[in-house]
Amino acid sequence: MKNKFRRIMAASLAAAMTISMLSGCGGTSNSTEEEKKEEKTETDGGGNAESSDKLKIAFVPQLIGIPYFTAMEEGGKKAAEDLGVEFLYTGATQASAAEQVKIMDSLIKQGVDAISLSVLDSSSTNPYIEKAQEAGIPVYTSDSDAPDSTREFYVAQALDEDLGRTLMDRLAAQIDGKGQIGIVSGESTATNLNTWISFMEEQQKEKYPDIEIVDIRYTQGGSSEQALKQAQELMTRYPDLKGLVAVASSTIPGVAQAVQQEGKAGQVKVIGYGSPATVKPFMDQGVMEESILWDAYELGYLTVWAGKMAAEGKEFEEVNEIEGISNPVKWDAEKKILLLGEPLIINKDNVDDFNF
Amino acid sequence: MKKIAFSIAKSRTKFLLLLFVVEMVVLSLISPYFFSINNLVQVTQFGAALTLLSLGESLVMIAGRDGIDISVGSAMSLSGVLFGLAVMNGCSIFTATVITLIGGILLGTVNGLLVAAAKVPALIATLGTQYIYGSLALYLTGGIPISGFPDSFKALSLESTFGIPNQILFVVVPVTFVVFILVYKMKFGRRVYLLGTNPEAAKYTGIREKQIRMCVYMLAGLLAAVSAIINNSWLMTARADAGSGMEMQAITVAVLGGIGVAGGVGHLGGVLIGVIIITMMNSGLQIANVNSIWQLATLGFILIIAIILNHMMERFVANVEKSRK
Repeated sequence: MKNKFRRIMAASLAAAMTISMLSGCGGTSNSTEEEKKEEKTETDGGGNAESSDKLKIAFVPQLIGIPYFTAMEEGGKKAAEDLGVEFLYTGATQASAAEQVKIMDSLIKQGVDAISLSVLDSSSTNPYIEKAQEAGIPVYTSDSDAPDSTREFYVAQALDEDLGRTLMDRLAAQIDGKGQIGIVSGESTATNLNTWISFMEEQQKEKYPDIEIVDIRYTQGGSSEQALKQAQELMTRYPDLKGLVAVASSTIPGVAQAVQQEGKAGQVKVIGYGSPATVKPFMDQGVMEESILWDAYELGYLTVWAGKMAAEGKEFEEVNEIEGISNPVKWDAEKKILLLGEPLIINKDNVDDFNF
Repeated sequence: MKKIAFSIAKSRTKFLLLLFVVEMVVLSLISPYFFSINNLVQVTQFGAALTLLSLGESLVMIAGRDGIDISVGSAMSLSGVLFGLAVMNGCSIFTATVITLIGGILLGTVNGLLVAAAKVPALIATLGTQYIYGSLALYLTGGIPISGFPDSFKALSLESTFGIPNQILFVVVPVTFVVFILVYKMKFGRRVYLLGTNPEAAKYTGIREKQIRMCVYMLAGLLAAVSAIINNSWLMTARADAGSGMEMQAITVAVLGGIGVAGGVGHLGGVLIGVIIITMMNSGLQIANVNSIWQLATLGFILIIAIILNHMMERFVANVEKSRK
């Protein structure tokens, strides 16, 4: 009797274990399969599902889930479809150099054919750029550069100099070329933001002696709340402030909200490098008149196009006519910069023409 | 077969080993790149900081009286910043390391004093110090990450020896070894466990609770400092937010590893396997190009499923044994 009972128990335990293992394992594989499917639609260049023989071009954005990088992803996907390559768009949900490093490591292990990244903190990612190159994978930067790295080239949205100077020109026009202005930036290590700021300062020194840049504030990870606080503080400390520059796209909502809360819409002009979708509500409310940017969709397209060229070991022409990109793309062989074009000025009239 | 099933059900460590094998199979099926020895060994580098933090966290939890250390993440950030500042102000890497380790112990001491001497509940005390340490780190850096370490500093976390990442071979493995000896071969460990199982009984056996509890928090602080240095070398940057969120990961791993929240329960071996499971999973999903939005969800999923399964099996075994008697 006792024996029988034990046998039954043992059998049911074994059954329970099998079931539990199956459910545990089934659960994971189910979810991962789903993810895989999703991933496939995402990575597929629109062609066949079996695309292992296609060139794999990877792009590591600063973070995923924001309209700007999603627009780049869309552009990249379109390019992959047109060019017959596979596009891997892999980023973390937070802007973190540590996550970028992990992602690059996994891309190296997958043996992709080219890696591009939008640099967050060059001191952290530079060693991994070298690691990838040691593994024979060409690495290039796109959207944000690391000039001090060994990257092959940089796919630039617009020249940093043009972006910085244009912004200062537009802001100066809005405030009649005089008064105090403050700057709210993102991460203090973000090379692209810092370069723009330095060209703003240069333009101000050269052309607008009556404008004074009172302070440059940084926010960790370009957080909107911190931007709001910094902007409030700047307005409190400098009551005569005429303009605020929100350098990182993600700081625009915070800065614009701060101005609105103070009831200074129109009085303190807000300008920045914001995507049309980001700035639209603030343009409607009259807090912002203009935003300076570029076409992120085309930048994504160009990134993948350039990746294919790099993977195939081809050189760029001095001027490249690329189907899918509206303007010819210039190649600066000396600085190794592939240039998308002139900065785009977004205002009330064209803000609805873009979907990022 | 039955015996194996029973022993797996009874021990969290063995159960986790099984889970680990299942995970390996699943991940290898998802991506052909995942399962190579070289990759598996290299992946461990991503778990280096987490291993040390979760060992400290687990000890605090084992020592009982609702012990928990929420400040380990901030302590890691702050010690990392200390290290960065020391190097930038002309200290050699060695001197900076000594300063940082002392700093880590001090941060742990503050926690220990609050919890053991001032009798502030651990959750509140370390929640408070979490904010304080985090703010201090931000204040010291002004929010600006410190970079510009000498190139030789890369040797610690960006290079490998015999294919094994240096920080694992030369730091994590030896440190873990020492911690295991301390906990499982010396009186200290037995006291920590006894304190967690039954603090009143511990008192009567002459264990000085305050002292042990202080030591446990100091150890957690020291381990946080070590992980900070590894992390600095890995990213070649000292950031004020380097450890943010790490405390939650450390607690997650400890719980997954079988450390009881009430104290006195669980083995550090389980915690180690927990770290490996989580690290491998993150890396495996990354290699399979799974969107990182899903990686977090998968982590939660594994945690809950693992704990529920393990509890179910434990109860089952208990029932069987009872009826056998």
